[in-house]
Amino acid sequence: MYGYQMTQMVKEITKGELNITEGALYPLLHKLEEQGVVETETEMNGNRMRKYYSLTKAGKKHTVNAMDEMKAFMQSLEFIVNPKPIVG
Amino acid sequence: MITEAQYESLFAFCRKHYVHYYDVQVELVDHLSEAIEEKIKLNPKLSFEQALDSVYAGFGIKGFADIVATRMEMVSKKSRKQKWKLFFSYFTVPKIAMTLCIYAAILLLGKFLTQDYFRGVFLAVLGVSLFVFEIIYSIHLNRLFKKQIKEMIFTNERLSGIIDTVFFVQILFTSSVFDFAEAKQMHFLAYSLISLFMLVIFVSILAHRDFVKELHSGALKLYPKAFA
Repeated sequence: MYGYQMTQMVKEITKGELNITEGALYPLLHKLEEQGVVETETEMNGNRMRKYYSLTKAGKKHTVNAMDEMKAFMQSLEFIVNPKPIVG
Repeated sequence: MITEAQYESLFAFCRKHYVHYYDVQVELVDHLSEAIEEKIKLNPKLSFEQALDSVYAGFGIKGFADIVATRMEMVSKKSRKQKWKLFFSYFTVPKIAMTLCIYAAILLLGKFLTQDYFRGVFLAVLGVSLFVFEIIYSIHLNRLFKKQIKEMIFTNERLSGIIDTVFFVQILFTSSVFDFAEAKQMHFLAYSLISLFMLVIFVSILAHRDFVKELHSGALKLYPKAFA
């Protein structure tokens, strides 16, 4: 997936709720590349060059862990906002 | 669809906004061209310039500055990691066999150099040879990039991260190790420590050579248009 495609996809999936600015996206992608989470390849389309990003093996593992962490965090938040009454 | 001339003008636009590196330009130009095409598709009355201004505004007040700065920092970090990895590969199987053999040979030779000043002179000759080897190799490696016509952050990394042999020359001639208490013969321990240091320098030159070769093949694969 390439940079512009990501911004459009996020916009589409979240129905415009989430908007990734270009100024934030590329520095983040470059950081993830340095951390080995994503890898890049380029493709020529006529005279035009496009850079594609894809998750590495480590990146896929990292994504699963990050999602688990986020779920746990969301659950904790819910407990705080909506505490269950103690029965007894 | 924007024309080829308009597409090319985006490279000039990047340069005008202080993006001088081709590897960053490629990504930004692709982004700008896609976004401009999308904007014109939604509003056909927009001119190319108007669409470009509107897309550029989306990059925020700092424009491209943060992207270039982060890219420089991240490429440098990644290269540093890679250089250490290649350096330590000479101290792991199978390359460690070569490293140990060279060190054993130097130590063995040191045992035979029993005459006055011989150990010091031998190390000095070895140090100067290493220095000459480094210069010749640097020239040779630089030739790989002779065909590079566009400056890139990615390939600029070849110029940093090598232990300079000048350090060795400095240590040998300014330290008291060589001429301590007017001793004519260098102590074997001092000899083995200095030669170990030289070996580390030699390995760093080899690791740097490996890194530059990897960098060159990676750059050719990722950015073929940056080379003539």
